[in-house]
Amino acid sequence: MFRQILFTQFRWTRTLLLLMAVFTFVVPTLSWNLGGNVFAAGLAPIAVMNGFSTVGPMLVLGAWTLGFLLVALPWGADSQSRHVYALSLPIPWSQYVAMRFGAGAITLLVPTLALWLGSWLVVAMIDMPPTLRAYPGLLALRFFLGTLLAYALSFLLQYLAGRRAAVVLLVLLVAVFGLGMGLSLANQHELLVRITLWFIDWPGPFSVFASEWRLIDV
Amino acid sequence: MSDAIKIRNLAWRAGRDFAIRDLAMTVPTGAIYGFLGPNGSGKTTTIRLMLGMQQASDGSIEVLGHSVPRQAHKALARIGYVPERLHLYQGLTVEESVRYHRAFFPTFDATEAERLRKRFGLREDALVAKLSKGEAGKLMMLLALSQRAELLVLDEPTDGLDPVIRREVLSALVEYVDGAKATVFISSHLVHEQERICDWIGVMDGGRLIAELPMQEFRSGIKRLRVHKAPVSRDATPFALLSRETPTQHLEEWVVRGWQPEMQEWFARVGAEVRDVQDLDLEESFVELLRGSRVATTTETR
Amino acid sequence: MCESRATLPRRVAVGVLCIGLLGGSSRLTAQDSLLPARASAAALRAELDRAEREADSLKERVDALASEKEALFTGRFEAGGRTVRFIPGDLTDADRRIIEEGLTRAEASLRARYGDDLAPFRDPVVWSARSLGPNNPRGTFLSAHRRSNAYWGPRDFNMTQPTVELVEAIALDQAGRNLVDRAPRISEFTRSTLVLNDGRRRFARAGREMALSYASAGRECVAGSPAACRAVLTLPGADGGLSLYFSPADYRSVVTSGELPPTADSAQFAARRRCLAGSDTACVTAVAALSRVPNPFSGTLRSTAVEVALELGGRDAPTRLVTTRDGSALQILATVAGVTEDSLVRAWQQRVRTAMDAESPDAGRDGVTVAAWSLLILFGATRRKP
Repeated sequence: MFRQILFTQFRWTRTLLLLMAVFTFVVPTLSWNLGGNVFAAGLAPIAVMNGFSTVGPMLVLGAWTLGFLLVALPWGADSQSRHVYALSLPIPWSQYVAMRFGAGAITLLVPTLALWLGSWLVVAMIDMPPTLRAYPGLLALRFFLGTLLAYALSFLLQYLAGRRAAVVLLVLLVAVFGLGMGLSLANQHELLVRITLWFIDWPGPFSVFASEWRLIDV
Repeated sequence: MSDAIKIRNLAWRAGRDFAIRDLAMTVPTGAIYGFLGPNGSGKTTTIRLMLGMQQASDGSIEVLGHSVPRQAHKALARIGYVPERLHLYQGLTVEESVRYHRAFFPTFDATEAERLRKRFGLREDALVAKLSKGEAGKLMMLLALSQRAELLVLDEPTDGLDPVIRREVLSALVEYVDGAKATVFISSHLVHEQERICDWIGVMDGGRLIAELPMQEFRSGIKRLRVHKAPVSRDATPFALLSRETPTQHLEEWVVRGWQPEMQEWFARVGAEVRDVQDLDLEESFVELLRGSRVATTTETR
Repeated sequence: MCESRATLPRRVAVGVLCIGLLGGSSRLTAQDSLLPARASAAALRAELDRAEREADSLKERVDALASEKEALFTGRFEAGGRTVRFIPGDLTDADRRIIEEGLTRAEASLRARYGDDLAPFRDPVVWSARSLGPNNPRGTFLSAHRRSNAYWGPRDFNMTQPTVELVEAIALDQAGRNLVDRAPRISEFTRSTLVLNDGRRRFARAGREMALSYASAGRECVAGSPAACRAVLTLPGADGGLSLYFSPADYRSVVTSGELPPTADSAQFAARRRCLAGSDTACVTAVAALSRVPNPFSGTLRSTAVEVALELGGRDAPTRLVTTRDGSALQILATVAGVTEDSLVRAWQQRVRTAMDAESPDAGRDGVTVAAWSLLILFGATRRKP
């Protein structure tokens, strides 16, 4: 049962997964080159570490993009028939949703694996100062977790708001922006910071994005 | 004999314009139940409620002994369902669709599916999105029949299909029912199609079940009478008077349900005389039923 | 002092004062040093160092003066058996209890480690206080007098616990400063920094600073060389630590961060350019021409060695720290610790490496968080049928 759901999930998102796998595979190399670096020997540790400073932001952006599209595509396929097929299957709806979620989460491994391989490759090409260490596995894991969270949030929005998901998202963004502006104008900066920290401080929902997304560290 | 479907006091509302009210329905096990009604009468909604896809605001539904929607998934495991429109995933091929479907239904018969695929002339590698309407209908029927279901719920299964394909689909259905002794609940507005295969009829209009009776009774029980010196009052008739019209000054045409020849005596008692009794075909009966129901509803409203 | 985070008027006043003093001292240094510099480059460097130390000393005096001035305007009350001074803000009796609790905790922490030996160094505790706003009656917010980062409450609006922790941190920080301020060699060694609370993170940060340093001594220390660690814990001589901290391979980075003297000639500028373009031989020339080589290691990094010495030295270590006056900082610390210099260096190195290992990147916590949130979200998503 789950295998078939996984199969359909992969079928609907395979192009997206392929594109994201290419993206995550090249991100470390791209970041290194964007920093104007060359694969030269004898670079200072700080230069090597800073050479990958754009890896984190690029991967965070990729995580959100992938998370959202990975929900939207299968939902689109299911909603073509107003979910009649899914609802006529002899399993409880919660089980179906959980299996869909699980299948999507598993497909996240494709770009994660690509990131891990890409990271290994670029690390192998660098003359690594002895005091630094590469963390391709940790970076890939963090990317997986970040994408999983973005995917889960998108999943929640889509399955609760249905076809109105885009509108609800827009309203949410406007509300968040409005709240931020309102608190700023009311000189309630501390409150604004606290609310923000609630989200990004451990164990807040976005704390994974506030972690260090570094390929190279001490 | 137990009932395959038992619905009591069902209520559901969609906005201001449409509601299902106080619906009661019984589908005996082993019956081929034709669910008739004009477009928008609530047939598809009733089916969705029956399968637990929507939640009723009141009433109870029992399908194959399972309470719906609470145990809908258990009932669905024993139901073959063909919806009104194509519900299968368009990105899959025929073979992949069969494989996907099979994974969810423990009683699915792969050999039967293959036999039906060949019989219906469906290519294994054909994409569902590329199938014609007839092919899509055949594929949905293939999946429902291969489930070896105890109950088939078919919502307009032949709607829009050409006569050849319709015949093919219906003959496969009849064969299956003969072999498996399954119950069939078939919704349609194609009256003649129902007449050929159904043994029970339920008629739905405006969210209400206005008639539910065996096909034989439906076929023979609705008559058009030419009544001379018809009484003014319509009270205390031994039959259900669906409509009455006055084409000439002394002669009225009555459409009645539940007619028996001995009921002529009633007319004699009230000083009237039945000059002619005409049989109505199923379509005429259906139309007259709807007309009668709508007149009654209008009168009630007033 | 010039880096202190206090109330805005004070910050402005002190800032103006600092700019005036620093600017003035720099100009004075340059003009005064002109003639000796022409005579000898080495003499010029020595003069510059002396002037820099004078400037530091001036800064400290300004800091002290500002603190005293500030004290005139602060409120004061007794808490935890100590006189606490603060800038009057929205402190209430309720806050006073919170402050007392923070101080008591700091007191207990110090007493557990040093008995009463640190008692003379505890007072005064000074901080500024401000309110979070009229809508937040429990929000009296304390910003540390000398803390670089403001302390934001975690995830509720009850500031009691964070305030207690903050007061404790301030008190420990203040005690450490008071201690090193009475030991001039150590004060110079740590740049007047010493924190006396649990410091795994500080040790990890020290290790990180060394691992990322452009000075090979730092990197080699982290990699395991005790000799390199000893170099890191040694203040530089007349050459600004060029031979102490750096290998020739580091010279390009030294040139990048160092300054050429105002008297540098075109050949020296050209050497600098060629060095930055990739010529190793030019780097040797360019490094020799630098007027000043910045110390690649911070006082905070070195202060961790003082912490180790105090820990090893036991309860009367603070007293030995202020009474031992002879020798280099490392010798004084060895005396405080009651071990040899090598043992002290090794103990410190071990501490740093252990802390680095413990603080190394780990996604376990993120994994648990994301898994928990995802399950919660999934539960929510299954609540509604389409």
